[in-house]
Amino acid sequence: MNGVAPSLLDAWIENFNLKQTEAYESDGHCAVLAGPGSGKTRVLAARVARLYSQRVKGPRGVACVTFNNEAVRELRIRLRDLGLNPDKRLFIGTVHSFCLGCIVAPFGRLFVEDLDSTLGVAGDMLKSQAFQTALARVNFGGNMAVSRGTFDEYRKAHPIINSEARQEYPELARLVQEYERVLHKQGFLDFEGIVHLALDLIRRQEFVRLAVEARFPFLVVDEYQDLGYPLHLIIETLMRTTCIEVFAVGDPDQSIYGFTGADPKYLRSLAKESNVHCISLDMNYRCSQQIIDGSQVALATEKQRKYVSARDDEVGEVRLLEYPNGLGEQAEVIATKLIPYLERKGVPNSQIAVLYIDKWDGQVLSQALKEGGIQYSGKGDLRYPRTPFTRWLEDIAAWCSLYPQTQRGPRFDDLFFQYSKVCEEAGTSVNTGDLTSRVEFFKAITSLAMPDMALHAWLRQLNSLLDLEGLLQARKAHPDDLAGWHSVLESCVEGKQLAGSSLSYFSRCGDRSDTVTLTTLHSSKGLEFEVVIMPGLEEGRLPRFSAKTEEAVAEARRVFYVGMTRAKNSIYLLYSGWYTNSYNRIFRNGPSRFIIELESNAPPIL
Amino acid sequence: MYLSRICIKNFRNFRFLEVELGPKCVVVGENNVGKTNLLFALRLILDPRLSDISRHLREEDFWDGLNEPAKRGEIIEISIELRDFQDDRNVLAVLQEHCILGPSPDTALLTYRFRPKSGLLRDREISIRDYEYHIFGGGLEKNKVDHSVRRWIPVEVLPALRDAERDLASWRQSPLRPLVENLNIPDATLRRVASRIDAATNELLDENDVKQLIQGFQSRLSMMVGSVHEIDPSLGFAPTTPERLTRALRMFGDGPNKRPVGEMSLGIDNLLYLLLLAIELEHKETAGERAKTILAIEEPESHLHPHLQRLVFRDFLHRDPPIFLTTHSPYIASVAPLRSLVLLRSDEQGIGSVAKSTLQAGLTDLESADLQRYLDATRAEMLFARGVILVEGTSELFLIPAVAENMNRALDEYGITVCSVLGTNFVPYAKLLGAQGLNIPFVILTDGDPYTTNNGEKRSRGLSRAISVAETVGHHNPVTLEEMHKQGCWAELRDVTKGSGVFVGKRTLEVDLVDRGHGQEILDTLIELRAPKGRVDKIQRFVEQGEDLDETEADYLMRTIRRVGKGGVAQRLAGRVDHAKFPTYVTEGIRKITEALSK
Repeated sequence: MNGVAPSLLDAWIENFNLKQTEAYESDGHCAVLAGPGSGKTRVLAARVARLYSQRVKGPRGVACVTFNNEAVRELRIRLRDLGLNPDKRLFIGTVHSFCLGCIVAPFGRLFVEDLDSTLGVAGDMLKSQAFQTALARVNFGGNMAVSRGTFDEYRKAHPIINSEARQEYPELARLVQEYERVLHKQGFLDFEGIVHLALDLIRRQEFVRLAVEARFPFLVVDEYQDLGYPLHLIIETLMRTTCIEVFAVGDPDQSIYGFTGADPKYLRSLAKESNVHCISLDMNYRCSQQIIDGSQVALATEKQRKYVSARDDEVGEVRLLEYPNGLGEQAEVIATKLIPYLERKGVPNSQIAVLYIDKWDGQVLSQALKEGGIQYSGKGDLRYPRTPFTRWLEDIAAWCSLYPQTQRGPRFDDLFFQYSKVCEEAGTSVNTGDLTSRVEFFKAITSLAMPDMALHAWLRQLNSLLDLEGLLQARKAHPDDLAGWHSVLESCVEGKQLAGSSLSYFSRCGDRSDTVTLTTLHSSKGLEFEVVIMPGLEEGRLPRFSAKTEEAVAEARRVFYVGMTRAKNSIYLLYSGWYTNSYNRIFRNGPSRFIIELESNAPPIL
Repeated sequence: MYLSRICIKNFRNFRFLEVELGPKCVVVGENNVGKTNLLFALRLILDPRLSDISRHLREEDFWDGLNEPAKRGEIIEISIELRDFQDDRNVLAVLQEHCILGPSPDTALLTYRFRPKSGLLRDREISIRDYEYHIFGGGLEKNKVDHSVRRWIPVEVLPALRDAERDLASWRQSPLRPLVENLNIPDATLRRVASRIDAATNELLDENDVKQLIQGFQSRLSMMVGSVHEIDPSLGFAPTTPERLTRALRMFGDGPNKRPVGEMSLGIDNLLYLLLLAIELEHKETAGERAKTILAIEEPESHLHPHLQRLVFRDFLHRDPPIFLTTHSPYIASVAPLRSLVLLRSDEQGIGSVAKSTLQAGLTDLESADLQRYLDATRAEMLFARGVILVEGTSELFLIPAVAENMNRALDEYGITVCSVLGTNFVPYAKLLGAQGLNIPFVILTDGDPYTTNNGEKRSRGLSRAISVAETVGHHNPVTLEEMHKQGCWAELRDVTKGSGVFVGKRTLEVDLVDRGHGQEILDTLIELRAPKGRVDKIQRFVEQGEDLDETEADYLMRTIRRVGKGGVAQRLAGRVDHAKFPTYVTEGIRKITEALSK
């Protein structure tokens, strides 16, 4: 049974500042603009606990949605600390899983023809097959075929099914329809389709609105700045047509997913609605004042945010370091001088992050770190994809490395629940109430509880005991998990990142406590480090050469801002004034304009 | 919200049962047709008190007609459909994940399935040990229905043989307990009352006899167990600690005499039990502890006086909460809303039970209201019959059982009831009893009632009635029948309508009786009942002619009988009937229904 531990909650609230308390307590629609390090996850978790334990009654509950799996994981941990676990009355998940699980899956089949009742999320392969099939079926009247890019863009731009706007180019509209039909027939949707369908159901079906309101009279949205237009429209429609109370949290300045359709203006417009109480969390518990000021310069907005550092312990620093011999030199300096220097100063490796612009730079940096003998780990892009499934593998590995002292690790129940879900979706019965299958699973993983076992052998053993590959193949709904499994296996082969690693090493991938973090600026969101090192800051790279519009530059500023605000104490910004592209062509555009602005330490005139 | 459909496959009495239900449901049926099993089927899905072990069925729970069901991998499946909950947010919150395509979007399907585990090796024989149960919604096994659904929308079953007296007396079981526990009595009041009880008790304990009695307890006890164990027995009316005081509250009846419930009749105890339960359920729903309770009562009539049965259940069945009850009692059935009736009985092959409800009988609102009143007035006897003979009036009520007995086919032995529809519109009854309705075998016996139209054409009211009934029960071509009627092919038409169960006489039963040779018996009856001598003599002359009565004679006969009293004549005549001389439409009708039931 779910129950909030009041003493824990009280202890949290006691330490809230005034704005945080206001955000925790205010009833009615709220928009919370939460700057970096403002403790918003804590406020959000406390707010959810309050809603769940005090405001909802009976079988009704709270839906708590956020943008990515990592944020969901963090939120779940926070809420678990307060004594709350997800159940029928408490949804904690991504916006997409909310749209799929709470709107499209239960109601789609009532209102949409041809929609299978068991829906899976289409992987890339299925999507391109469906596109080709649809393209062959739609006659473009002698015109040249439509490219995938045009199609995707058109679809993204027209989220409202059957809208007049979507009919602007009837052939494209038909292509979209046909593409979706092909996927539906196979029992699949893609992420775009999930959101569009959810929006359509919410807009057109009163019953769906009633049902969502009945189940979730409270809707909490985290990372609102990452929402695209259709998701924003869903929230707006629910606010306008139902009694659902919305609590939206986000930071427009940290909106860096423009390529997915996210735009900071949605959160801003929500915050301006007359019936929405807007609260700004201005206290920054993470960064020193100097870093806050520096990041403000980078953001270059007309109106300065009034963020104040809650810290008075240390004077932070923003250092600009020029190395004229290019990225290679920057990487070498980082690996051989900067990090060793920080180590000597007593900064633990886990508190150092190297944030880079993209994969291209990442390869150079990882090579240099390897050569410099520096242990590093990163998120996502250098290895296998981090999905709930691969996370689950990591968790089993963690459990196995800790066994029998598993108290501080992942919970056996969670591991088993995940396993039984996979089995069930694969069509093999595992009755969660049935002891035998629990015992089987327990036996299997305890037999593999050897922290020093080579990862590759461990995975093979795990597979032979639990038949994971077979299950994943039989499980239609999540084709990407099979791909995830293969890429974990592949990263174990000779020459790849995990070659020769042990099980316990694998278990600590991602959130290791003893390594330097090497990750992209984009995926650094939500993290914090004492020291942030950002190399490769050249004009043409950030902002990108192709960023010509004001919006594109503003987005690049926000990316830079997110990177800077990860730092508690120190930022090292590295540049050479030139860079090469993949054809080794040299571009000499000077350092990033953001560097120049920081140097002159004054916001530019826009 | 209400339970709108039940479907059961391969479970106990039921090979296949499917029935649509109305907002209330009153299941009527003989013993052993599976009323309790039907309730248990509901409980498998929605009773939060049922343990996991009970939910795991056993081999003997398969339908009896299955041979080695587990070995063959047979599946038990029970589905219920819940409807009409869009306006109830709590119910909508719980059931929204389980909706299916239905007449409205707020139609949910919950299913219990007992089946072999999937992924079993093919080369091994399946046994009952390989079975597991799944409860799921929306027809999808992955859509688990677990405690969280049962908790909010429970079925609350009151079993038939409950001991209301004991439950009321014990604090733990008493339906009074949750109500009392929710009372909000100020501490000061409790303390004051407690001290007064204490004072009153002490006054009594001060009496010498009482003192001696208690001392007796104490000294004997200390001889038995020594003085170490401080049991210290005493006497009192109620615990005198304030926090225990309310637990001592008991229910009393009989006004100022304050008789404890246990001392009153079993019926009253049952009634009070129901009362407390109803209040408790309402309370739980308002307090948000439950979304909706489906109250299932098994044979609530036990020990309750017929009049009370009617009063109590008229009230219960016309209130909001969904109710599902099973009963033997015609008194309860007679006050049940017509569209709530479900008839449970053995199927034609006698190998399983099937259910039919009045919901799909196609009755119009007016017909439904008429039937409702009829059932109310006749105590719903029709619903408890295995077969029904529908007739027009009281004469038939007396004469038909008599002639059947004379034919050596006593109706009671077949479970046949003769019902007078007190008029001539058989159509709603045919709908109610017909295959779309309760599917109770029936025949209709009706007078011919010939007449001449303004145009001078001959017609028979009886045949017209027969045609409309034939139409109702699904005769394919009523137009042809009407044509036969117009063209005077009455004999053929009579034969045709017999197929639809309508047997039409020539004229009026009494006239037909004289024509077929019961003249003397009718005369004897008239004399016995002191009909005027002149009339008797005149009728005697008609009879002695030995021919069919003409119209004026028939008319005279009927007027005489009416003057004496139609019912009275029939009552006396019943002792004199001879089936050989009875109008054939009646004897054929009796033959048809008795034969249908002896299959």
